[in-house]
Amino acid sequence: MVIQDICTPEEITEKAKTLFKEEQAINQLNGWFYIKRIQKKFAEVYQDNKPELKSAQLLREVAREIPLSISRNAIFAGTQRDSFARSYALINPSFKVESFAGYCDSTAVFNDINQSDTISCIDIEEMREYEQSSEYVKALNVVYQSVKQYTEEVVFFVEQVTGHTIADFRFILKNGIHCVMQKIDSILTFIEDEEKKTNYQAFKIALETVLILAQRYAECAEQLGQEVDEPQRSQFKLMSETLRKVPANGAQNLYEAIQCFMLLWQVMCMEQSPNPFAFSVGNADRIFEPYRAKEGLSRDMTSSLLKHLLVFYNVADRSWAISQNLIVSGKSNDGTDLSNLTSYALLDAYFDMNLPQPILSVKLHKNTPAELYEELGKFFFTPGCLTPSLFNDDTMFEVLHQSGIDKEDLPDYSIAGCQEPLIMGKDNGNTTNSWLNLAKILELTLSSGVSTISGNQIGEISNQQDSLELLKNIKTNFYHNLQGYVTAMTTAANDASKAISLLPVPFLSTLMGGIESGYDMRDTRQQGTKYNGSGCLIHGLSVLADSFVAIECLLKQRPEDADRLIRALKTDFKDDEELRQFLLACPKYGNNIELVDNECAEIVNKVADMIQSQKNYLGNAFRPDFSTPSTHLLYGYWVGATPDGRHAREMLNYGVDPFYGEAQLGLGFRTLSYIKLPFEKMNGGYASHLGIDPNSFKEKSFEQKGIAFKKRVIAPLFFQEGNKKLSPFYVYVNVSTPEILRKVMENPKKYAPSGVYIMRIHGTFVNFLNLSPAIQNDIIKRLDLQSTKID
Amino acid sequence: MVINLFQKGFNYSQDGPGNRLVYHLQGCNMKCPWCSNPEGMTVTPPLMATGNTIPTYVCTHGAVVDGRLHRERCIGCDTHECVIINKNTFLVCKNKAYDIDVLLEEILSCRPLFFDHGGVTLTGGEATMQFDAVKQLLLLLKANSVHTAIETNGTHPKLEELLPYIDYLIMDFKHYDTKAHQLFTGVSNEEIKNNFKKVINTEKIINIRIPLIHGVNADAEDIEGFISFFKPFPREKMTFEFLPYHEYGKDKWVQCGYIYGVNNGFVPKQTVSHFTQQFKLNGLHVIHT
Repeated sequence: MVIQDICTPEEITEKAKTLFKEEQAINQLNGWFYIKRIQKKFAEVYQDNKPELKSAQLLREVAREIPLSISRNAIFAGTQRDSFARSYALINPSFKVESFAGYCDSTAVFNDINQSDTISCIDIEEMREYEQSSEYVKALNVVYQSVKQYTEEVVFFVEQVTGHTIADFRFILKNGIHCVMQKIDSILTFIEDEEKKTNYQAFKIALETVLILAQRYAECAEQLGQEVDEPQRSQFKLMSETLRKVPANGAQNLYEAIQCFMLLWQVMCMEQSPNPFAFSVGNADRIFEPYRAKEGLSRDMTSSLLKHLLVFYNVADRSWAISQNLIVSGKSNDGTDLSNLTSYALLDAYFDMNLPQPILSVKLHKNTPAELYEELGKFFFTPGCLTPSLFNDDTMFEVLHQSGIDKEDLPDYSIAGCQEPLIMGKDNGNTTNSWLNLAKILELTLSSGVSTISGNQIGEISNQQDSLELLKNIKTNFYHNLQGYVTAMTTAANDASKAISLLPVPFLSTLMGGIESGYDMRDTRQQGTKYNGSGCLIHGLSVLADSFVAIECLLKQRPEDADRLIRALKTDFKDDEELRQFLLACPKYGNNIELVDNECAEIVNKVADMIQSQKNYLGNAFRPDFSTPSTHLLYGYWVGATPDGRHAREMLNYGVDPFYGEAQLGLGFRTLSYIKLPFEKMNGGYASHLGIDPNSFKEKSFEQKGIAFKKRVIAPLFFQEGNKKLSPFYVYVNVSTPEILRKVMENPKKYAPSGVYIMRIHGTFVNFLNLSPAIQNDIIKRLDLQSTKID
Repeated sequence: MVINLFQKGFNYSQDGPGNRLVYHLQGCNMKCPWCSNPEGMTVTPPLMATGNTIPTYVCTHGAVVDGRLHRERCIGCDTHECVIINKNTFLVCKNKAYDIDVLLEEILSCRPLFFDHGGVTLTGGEATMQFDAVKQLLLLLKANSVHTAIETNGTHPKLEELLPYIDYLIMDFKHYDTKAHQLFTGVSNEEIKNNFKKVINTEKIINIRIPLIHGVNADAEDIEGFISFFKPFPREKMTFEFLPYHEYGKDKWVQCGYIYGVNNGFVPKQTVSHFTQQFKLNGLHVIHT
């Protein structure tokens, strides 16, 4: 019996849509609390075991005790709902930039749980106290305490990284968990290293977790089958039989592969509960195509099954499991396009469902077939429809190869979270480990280390120079100070990584090279994954470039105003609008002006080199990532006035983009500014957004618009002939106008009758209707259509 | 030699083939009341008041009072502190003079974006108002194998001299009737017709652009007027494009201190369709860009 004998694609689609509605109706997320409670219950039983073993044993207990259920609309068993809390700030309508204090308190998540019949107020407080007394939280608190003076006004920020990896499920999908267990048994027969031996034992127990879940779900499905009539009875019978087969054994068709995938994913998330954001699937089309091809499944049926996979990624009323990423298409090392029928079926599924999660990314290259661009047309030009992130394989392969990735691993790069490139199953990049605020450091450099926001002394900058000298030497002074802050930041970031290593992840490690290395992927003494590094997200690039150039112009044209500038910055130009106007009229990045574009490129070079020279806990390099996942708003709020004329507390520029409103000459000139940047230095990734006016595309069909979009937006950016440098490798777009979005805000019932109007903030989709006014206005502001004019 | 520009940017296949860098040159000999680039009409560029309230300090000669620019006080000012020294975002002058070599350097740096047989388009204002500089630039562009296009109102008596350096010629043709042309644009169309006849006898294809404006040239009898003029000429040497009236430049008229003089110039879609249909029936090739 196979699923296509029981249900039509239309019926499966209908179930997926109903299932999503059910999910949207859930406004309490308590599963993660149950997981904590089970872990606490058994902590004493396993307290004498080594941490790796203890983690695996606790995970197994969770699998045995966590309440499970299957919806009558489900065709697959499994959920990641129990791993997430309602705590991601940016998709909360009541979010306020002014009150955001970062995620320093790892027990703050207990504020997001609601009392219920099974969870009392006392339970919550007891659990909070228990968590606070853990070695992990204590270690993390020490880190945050040590750098409080810097993080309070975000000179920099550090965090322990959870999620943010791309596990490789392919071996288990093909061969099953029993096969991996046998492999481990065989290793255990000869291994002598005691630490590794313990680790392998832990890996095996962790894998057993999935089998327990599968068994429990199989029983659940069997029970459900007895309660319903045909054809549902057959469907639950199939589910039950499938769960007794996979993931224990390899999958033989697409239905089995998806079922197997979901359970592996569920356990991976449970292990890092709560909130393991930004786990990514990787090249979903390549993962599932072999199973589709085995049975010659049609595009329609494939798409309908994949719709259930997409629904799986949506957690509760606001799809809280953000930044999980599926990728399609791309190329092989010899340049062959790797799109397949599953790529297109997945696009069909995304378009028909139009869900707030998971993120869709598309890999492009010079030989990407026209058909793919034609298919993408409907995504770009349907109002309120999700739009994919776009990656340029031609550049990405080069960037990653130059940073030490073996050639055979290049086609397997994928995106963890928003835009961070990692190698599937082999790379622990700790992508969001550190966050650097260049604009704040400029402010402190110009104010002898005294914050112009709070008046607090931050760091040890002391200035003996008069204003004129200070400005003349601004770059030397800035980079000197930057070095000091970067050292403090990476020290703290490494300490945060050491803190999270107190929570080993044996299950994930088996999917990240642990079977080969014998080490946990979070181990800070031994490298568990083939590749390892730590990320640094760099903020304020073009604000800094524009500021350097404005200072240069001031010194050239009116050096007598050096003192005046320093004074004006301290008072946020309160009594000196004239000077601010002069600064605003200086050349700005994004207009193909050599002076300022070259300054921007030089900043990237210098800052990236400085970051890359920093070593993480294993002695591997930090990876510069010029992205600002809405933190351009949050960090800008803590930065005083800057010499480019920007007011205190205004947002910073986004990623590598020009400051909004400053690129005045349209997309062509903005692109020419971009392509001067040294993208090879951005091996941690970068962010860039284009707001595109749909009215610039007069073509009649979506397919024609897709081709036109490639010609007029994507090709100039990614595939310019004659560009001797590496071209940009990432962009996301919002195809809309401020007028359209204001209409949606004013009358959502009319313009978004389904209650979902997808826009992008940074690399993630959001339901525009669920956002706070601050984030809605940021999206509108940064459409910045003047900077992308193409007609 | 310098070229005065008031605007630049890229567009795709609208002013010539492929992706093009479009330069708008300062100054025009016509005064069309529907012009969408009024800041480019005069040889001496206008000050544009882009802010609602202009700070007094930007002009040291007292031309800004109560947040408003009193343009009569700018007459005779040759220092222009407001845009040179007291740089600001409230009063701007879009014009910038570029040495031809500098412009060439910029153009060559843009080569990666000249895809799909793109290149450079010179428009205005009226590009041929800076005839010698334009000729020099076009010559340099051809020497560097850059595809060239020009959009002109067709009035320059020496237009023919530029033809060897132009790959794609766009010529505006606002009215078939000489008196009406004089009335609406301030310039006769005789020279335009002369130039048209000269060009049509060369190997060049002329891409004719006709703005359609209610009350100016969009009535039923106007179709006949246009067709009568063009029909005798070799059809394979001409294309036609209709540009329905719009008001994208209306705000800029106010910013420049001008009074916008068109009342209801919009034409219905049917008018454009009718023009297109009739031109086609007469064997004239209509395009959309």
